[in-house]
Amino acid sequence: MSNKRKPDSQVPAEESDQLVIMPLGAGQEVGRSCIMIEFKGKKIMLDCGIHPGLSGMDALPFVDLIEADEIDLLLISHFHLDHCGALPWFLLKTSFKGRCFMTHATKAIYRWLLSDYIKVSNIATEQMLYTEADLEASMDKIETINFHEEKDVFGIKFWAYNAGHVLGAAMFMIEIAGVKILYTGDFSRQEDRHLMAAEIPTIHPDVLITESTYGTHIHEKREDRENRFTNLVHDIVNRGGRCLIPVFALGRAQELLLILDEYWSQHPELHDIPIYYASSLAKKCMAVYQTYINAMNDKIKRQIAINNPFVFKHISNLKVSNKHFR
Amino acid sequence: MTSIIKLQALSGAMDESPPCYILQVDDVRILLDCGWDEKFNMEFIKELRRHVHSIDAVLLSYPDVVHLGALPYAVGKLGLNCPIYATIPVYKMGQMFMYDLYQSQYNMKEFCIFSLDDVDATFEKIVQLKYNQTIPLKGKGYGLTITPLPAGHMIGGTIWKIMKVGEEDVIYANDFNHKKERHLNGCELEKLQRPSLLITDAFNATYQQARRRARDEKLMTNILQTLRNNGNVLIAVDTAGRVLELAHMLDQLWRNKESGLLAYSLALLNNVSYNVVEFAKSQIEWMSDKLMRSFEGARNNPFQFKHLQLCHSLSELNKVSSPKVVLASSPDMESGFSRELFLQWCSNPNNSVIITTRTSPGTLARDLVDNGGGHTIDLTIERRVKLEGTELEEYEKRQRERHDDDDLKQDGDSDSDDDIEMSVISKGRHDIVIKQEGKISGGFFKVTKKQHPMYPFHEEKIKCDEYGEIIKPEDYKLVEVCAEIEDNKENVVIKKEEEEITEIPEFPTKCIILNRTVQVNCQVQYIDFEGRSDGESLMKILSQLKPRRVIVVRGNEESTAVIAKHCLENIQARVFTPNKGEMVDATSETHIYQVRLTDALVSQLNFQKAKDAEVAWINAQILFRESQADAKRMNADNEPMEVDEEDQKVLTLEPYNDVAPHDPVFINELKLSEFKQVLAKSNISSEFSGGVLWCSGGTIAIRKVESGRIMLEGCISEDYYRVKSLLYEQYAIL
Repeated sequence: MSNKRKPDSQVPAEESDQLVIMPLGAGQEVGRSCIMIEFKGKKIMLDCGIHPGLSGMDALPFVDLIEADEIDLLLISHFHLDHCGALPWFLLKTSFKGRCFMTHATKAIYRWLLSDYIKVSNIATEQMLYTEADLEASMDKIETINFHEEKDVFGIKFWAYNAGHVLGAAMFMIEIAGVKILYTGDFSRQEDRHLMAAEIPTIHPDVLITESTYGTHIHEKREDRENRFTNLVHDIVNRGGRCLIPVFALGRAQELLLILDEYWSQHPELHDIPIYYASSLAKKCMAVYQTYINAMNDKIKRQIAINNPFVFKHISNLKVSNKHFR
Repeated sequence: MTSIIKLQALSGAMDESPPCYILQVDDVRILLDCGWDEKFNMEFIKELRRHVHSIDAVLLSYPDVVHLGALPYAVGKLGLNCPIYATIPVYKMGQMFMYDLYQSQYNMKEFCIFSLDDVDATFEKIVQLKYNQTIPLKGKGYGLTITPLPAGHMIGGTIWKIMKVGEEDVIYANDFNHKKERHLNGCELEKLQRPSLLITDAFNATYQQARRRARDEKLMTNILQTLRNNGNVLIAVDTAGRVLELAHMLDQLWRNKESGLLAYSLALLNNVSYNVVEFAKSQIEWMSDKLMRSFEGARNNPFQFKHLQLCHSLSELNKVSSPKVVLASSPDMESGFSRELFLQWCSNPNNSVIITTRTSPGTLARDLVDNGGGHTIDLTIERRVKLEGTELEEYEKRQRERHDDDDLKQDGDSDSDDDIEMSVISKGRHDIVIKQEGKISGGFFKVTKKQHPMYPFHEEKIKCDEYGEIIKPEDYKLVEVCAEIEDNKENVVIKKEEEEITEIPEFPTKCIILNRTVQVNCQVQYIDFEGRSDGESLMKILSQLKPRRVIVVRGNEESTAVIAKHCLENIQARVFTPNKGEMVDATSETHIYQVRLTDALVSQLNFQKAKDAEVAWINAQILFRESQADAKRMNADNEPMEVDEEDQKVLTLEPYNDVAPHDPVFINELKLSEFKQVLAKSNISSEFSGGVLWCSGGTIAIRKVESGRIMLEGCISEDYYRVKSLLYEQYAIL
């Protein structure tokens, strides 16, 4: 398949056996994930993120290396900025006319996460990649795909597996002319309170594209880590202290809320100590977490028959004007 | 298509009975739906019983009783044991339908056709799928794949596509709706171009629907007029299917400030209303694009109702202020709260009853649709009532006596305190530990006076002796109870009050049956909220779909004939219209037969490996043979099954050795580029030039000629023979 052919080869793209994979971002770096796949004349872009450390046009992946109007399909793995941050710009400000897919939960959170990003970006308006209106308009161009649902777009067959990591995170299996490529995006094999572990596909891919952010890192055991966390929090509030946990508003924060809510219900002595989350973004997206239960693990799916675990008993939202916080 | 395809209609053919079909693709038998009617028709079960052990998979289309009602019986009482496939909403809502049905029946009589355990056992067998998720069947079904496609009508509603790998497709589509609704997208059946076989229903073939707008206005007017006259509106709906559309629509109406409805109340009444709404909230991704967009945009969950109050009992409903609109199950008004409310409300001309779907003939709702209101009807009323007065005293006395007995018995071994831990470990459903719940299992969703902070869980100490747990024999006396019920039914004719006391710790109750004649004074109206494609669109879809073969099921003879005629004349399809119980053969090739290979033949075969398969050359002749006695299939009761005459004579292939040896056959489609890699592995260099593969520095040439033959040329050398043998290895040679 990877027969090296001369660039001026006579073979038309549709018949060529050459598979070209080109990272436009996230190659030898962390951030702005964006990978191009070209095979049998089909062009697919995987993710379209921004570099969190850079701003304006500098944060974009190197999309000037490709022709946007030739891309047939764009797949977004999950809602983190380094995977979908450049999407409104790409959908509206380039000549892209292919189709774009993501999971339902990703789409719902994408809308609010990027809206928040626009607000907090502290740069001049002319440098902004897109506006709130662009973001709104991009929603109509994004189609949704359920996990395991097979889609066929211009002869490219693809479907999504659960990736763990954050709500709605997907790994995409793409099949063109019988050749299968698996793109994992960010994934986690550790089942946690609300998400399942990344699935291992039963089908063997021919090519695997995966992340390596924690390639050399060994995670502490989940139980130990959680114990350390809850004990620390317990100690702090016990000695009359206040505990501030700076986290990113979406994704792992919801897991921490579940851990704390559960810990609080197991410890009645803590009940008069309030827990707040001070994020309007997290508040906005709580409805999404309360809704897309089917993207979570079996434990949550079972619990929904009794109560919704994302309707917290001991945690409330802290409004900005709230005077509780003194 | 080279598969033998047959369909047998167990129910739902040439009439409007619930759908249940066996689709046979070669050796694999797939049960398509397994519905039951409102009266639990046992005739159909007899038929199902004969086939239940030969079924390899069940496919469900919708969560309602009409499409899966008989499954708990089939699994619990007939021993159906195979994977069941359904979408996630069909799984969740199906459970709600069955819980509600069970509870409604239980509130009326001693119900033992199936138990809640049967329901749970059934749903444990369900493999939950998403739309467009293609799943290969396992085991015997190897090579078959099934795909659920959106069908509209109810949440999770499915059109099934059944494919034999590499061949054409069978589509099973019934009760679908092509129209977009408030909470669901329409189906896109017509996009599945030219399926080789379509199995569809004729239910609506001659039926014409009012326009959606006119229909909505009619409902609105009816509701407003009744409420303004100080009357109540009863809308008979199902448990967790079509009710979502109505509930969503009405709640939106109430939100409209100009509607003038705010002064009145709106309630949803069934045994599982809380759960139904919770599940609906978590299934937004299965709903219409419009709802999904509004959720993404405004994060308003469309099933977070503002005005609709959820009730689980009549006492809860009484707390809702009148005049009110009540959505109550079941749609047929044969059981459930809709029947209760009808009895309460029908005599008052200010009230209004709205029926939203045509249920089976013979049900109360259908009777009202066909004959309208304004007349008297005789009804049998079955009800579970609490014991009162002397009956209660008597019952309590008996309870006390038994209790004393128990205490006496238990005194001897009350020292087994250390067994408490066991109750934590053994949470099995049939374990005696949870016998409290087991007994009031019927009251699972019933509102008990006792308020529990969570699900009631009584931790009970297990008594043990040397032989293990001490059981109460009466816990296992289910069979006798059943028999008594049957007595009950017979007694109805005598119009005498019969009672059956059940021993439930908290509420001693009995079941009574009485006949009553009621005068229907209230308004009765049928407003179609069935959500099914009507006759005209059905024809249009069929014309666009252009199936090559059609099997028409479920619909009276007239409707069936209309569809059959349409398919014959306009799309030149082969049409089958099976009767109930009849098996039709929809195999596309006309000369396909199933043959049995004799052992003698198989042992002679010399298999050669070719890619994923093994192939062999066969010399044989076809003979008729009487099937051996031992091969006769036995059914569950070890009685020989009634086998058709044809089945007894089996076509067999017998060895036939009187043939001249044949020319060898080479099997493979060799690609020179692949062969190049093979050569490279054996350290033979090669390169392409002008379509010819030159090996060993150009001394050997391999080319492909037009006829597909491979030519090997070159000087005789060691390499030549190596290349030649490698080339031969690429083929299976017979």
